[in-house]
Amino acid sequence: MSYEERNTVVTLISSLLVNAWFLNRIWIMYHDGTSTAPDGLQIWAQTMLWVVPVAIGSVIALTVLTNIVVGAISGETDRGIVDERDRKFEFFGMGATMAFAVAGFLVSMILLALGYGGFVAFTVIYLSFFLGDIAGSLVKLGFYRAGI
Amino acid sequence: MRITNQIRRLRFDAGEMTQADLAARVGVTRQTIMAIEAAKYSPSLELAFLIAGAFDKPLNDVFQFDPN
Repeated sequence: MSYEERNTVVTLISSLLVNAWFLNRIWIMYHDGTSTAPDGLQIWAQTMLWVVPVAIGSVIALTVLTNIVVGAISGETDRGIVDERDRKFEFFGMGATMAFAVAGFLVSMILLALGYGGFVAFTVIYLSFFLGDIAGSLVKLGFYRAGI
Repeated sequence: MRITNQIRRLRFDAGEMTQADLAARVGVTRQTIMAIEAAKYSPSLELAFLIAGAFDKPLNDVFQFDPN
């Protein structure tokens, strides 16, 4: 497993963990009335502002930790090398991520047009980025495994 | 995959050059060399020339295109 492929797995796991926590928070806020409260969107944004640095920090920490452990165990010598194959798969993964993000934005506009509040619309946009991130990682891993 | 290659044989002819050695020479990961060798990835023209250069062979001796 190359450096970039390993990082993709780490990013996928980290993203699932952090976003599972955030979605749980959203679920609670949706059911305890926060979503319809006057300051509901403000609380949503404050929670999100915590999630972003936590997500970035967890990816960096897990990546560093994983590479140290893998390097010590396997003695891999190509750590840190990103080559044309990695960049090509990154590009394909980005395409999947963008497709989800665009779809999420359109769905959120439709929901707003149907009368749903900003809390739901922003959650859908966030969800589309999250699912796009997962899809992008899975596309990359698929290409790494199956080849092109 | 219609592009085949002779990298395995050429590595053997070059004194059992390892995939890691070849990867280091052309500036890619060992996994990329492995994928190219197994015909699971078609390299860019630039990388193909670098690989051929590592064996001091013309491109046609390393990579072949099979239209069938």
